[in-house]
Amino acid sequence: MVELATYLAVNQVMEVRSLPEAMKEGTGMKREEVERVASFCRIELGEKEKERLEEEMESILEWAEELEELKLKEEVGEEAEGSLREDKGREKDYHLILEEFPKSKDRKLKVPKNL
Amino acid sequence: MNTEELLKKRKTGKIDLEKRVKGQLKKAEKSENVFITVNEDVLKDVRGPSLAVKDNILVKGLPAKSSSRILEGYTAPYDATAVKRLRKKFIIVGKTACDPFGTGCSGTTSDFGVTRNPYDESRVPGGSSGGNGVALAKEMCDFALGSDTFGSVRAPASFCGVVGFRPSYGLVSRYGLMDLCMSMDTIGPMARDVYGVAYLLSKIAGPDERDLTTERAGKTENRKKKNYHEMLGEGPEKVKVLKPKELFSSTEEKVRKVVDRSIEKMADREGIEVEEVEIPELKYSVPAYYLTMFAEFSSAMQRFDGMKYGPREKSRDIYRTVSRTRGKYLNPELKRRIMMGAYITLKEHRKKWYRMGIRAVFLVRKRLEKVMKKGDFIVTATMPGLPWKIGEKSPVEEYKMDLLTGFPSIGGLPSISIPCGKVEGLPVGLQITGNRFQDEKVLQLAYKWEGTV
Repeated sequence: MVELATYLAVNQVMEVRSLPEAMKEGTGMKREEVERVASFCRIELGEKEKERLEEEMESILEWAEELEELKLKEEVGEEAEGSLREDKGREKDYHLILEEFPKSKDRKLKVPKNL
Repeated sequence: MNTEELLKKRKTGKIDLEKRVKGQLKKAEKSENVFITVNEDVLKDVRGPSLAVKDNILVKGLPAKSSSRILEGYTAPYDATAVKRLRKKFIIVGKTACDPFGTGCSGTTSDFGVTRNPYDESRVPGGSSGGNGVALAKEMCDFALGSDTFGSVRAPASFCGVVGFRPSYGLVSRYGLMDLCMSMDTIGPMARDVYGVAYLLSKIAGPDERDLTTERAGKTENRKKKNYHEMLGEGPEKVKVLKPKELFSSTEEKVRKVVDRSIEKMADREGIEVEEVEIPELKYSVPAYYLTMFAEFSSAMQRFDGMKYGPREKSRDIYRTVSRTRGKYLNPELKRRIMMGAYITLKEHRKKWYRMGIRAVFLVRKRLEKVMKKGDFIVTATMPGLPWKIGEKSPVEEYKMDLLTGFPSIGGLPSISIPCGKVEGLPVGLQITGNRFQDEKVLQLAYKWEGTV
């Protein structure tokens, strides 16, 4: 039996979306940020890869910053916002998974052995 | 022999199709990194012309790796809707190489080897449907099915001297296409001429209950069943084409000259009206798309974790198993995009980055709607330069090469690349973009244009 929380943590990796306060300052990409994001994405990286990604992600963000030249908020602010759902967790989804899953008991799911 | 002749000869039995396909398969087998899978079984029943299918589109019973090692060993359990609709009249000769999951415009980054330009092997074939471009140029097939999110059918068509068509978003079902950026992904036909892509489009277009974007579009009057190839000679009359100033000034001079000459020739011969327009926002299409795509792609790629598909790197717990598998089998571009998507959608970053991308997409779309009221088509080069040397560009430099193919994708507009000349022995593509769900008009103009080259 697998705890539902474990199942979701592995399969919905993008739901974990918070960086420590120390990493929020500045726009520059830092090594710790690369490591943390890689961990969210469940991607194991070598040291050289981390170094390269730090540089590349930084240069992509610098390039994308040119969008700030546009008057986006004034022109399409509300229109574009309307296309996104409210940023809130949906607790009921947990129940849907439990109901749909072939074998479950309490908040635990039974899955075939993978490892 | 052009496609129209080929199909006529086939109908009247004046062509030995089996001999033709055998020759094509022989070339495909000898080629390097054009096909990921060659399907020799088709020789048992050569019931129609040959079709190559990009490796990110599912063909039942054939491997579907999307040219990535993360899907090694995976065989498609069903046909994509577009493939299903072509089964009766075509034979599928194989799966072609691409940038994994469609992530690139060079066409060289397949995990199974570098695909090369058919005119100069030191250069890129254009991507991500690079294998299709080369297979058509070198006559390893007569038709090809690719996917186009931000230029992936049109870029290789341009660099390989063939024709590639991106249909209106919602015209062709995406069911069975692996996601890159689902709000812009399309399946698009490729061939050696406009008749070929129109013929293929006639077979694959139309509503599909498995893709809601086609179902919604299907309710409008514009979505009646059309035989696009039979409509080619019908029009359009009194055409006005728009030339976006900023996009022309950002195009390499030698490419621009070829495109300008082609426009002048077309204006003289067909009397089309040409107007230069200023749409400064179009140049922002590229960063706007990349931010949106990073987020969508990052989410779509979560499923590739070694549990259900592809190889698995076993470790002591599930977390490490998934991390090691993804670390080992995703290529650098896939990792970069997945991580960028995770980064820009982090709680503290999404208000800046993701929102900025979404808003910029809306703004470009809005500008396009306004400008398309001034004319019927937007004409540009397909690519802002010639095919570059393999490996010479950084990731951001490559992203910027999507400048001209990007805006039609953001607008969901039909757009075609046709050859319009050569520079230094390399083909140059011309791109015609029309109004959404007026795909036949784009094809009709391209058909006329093709005749002037």
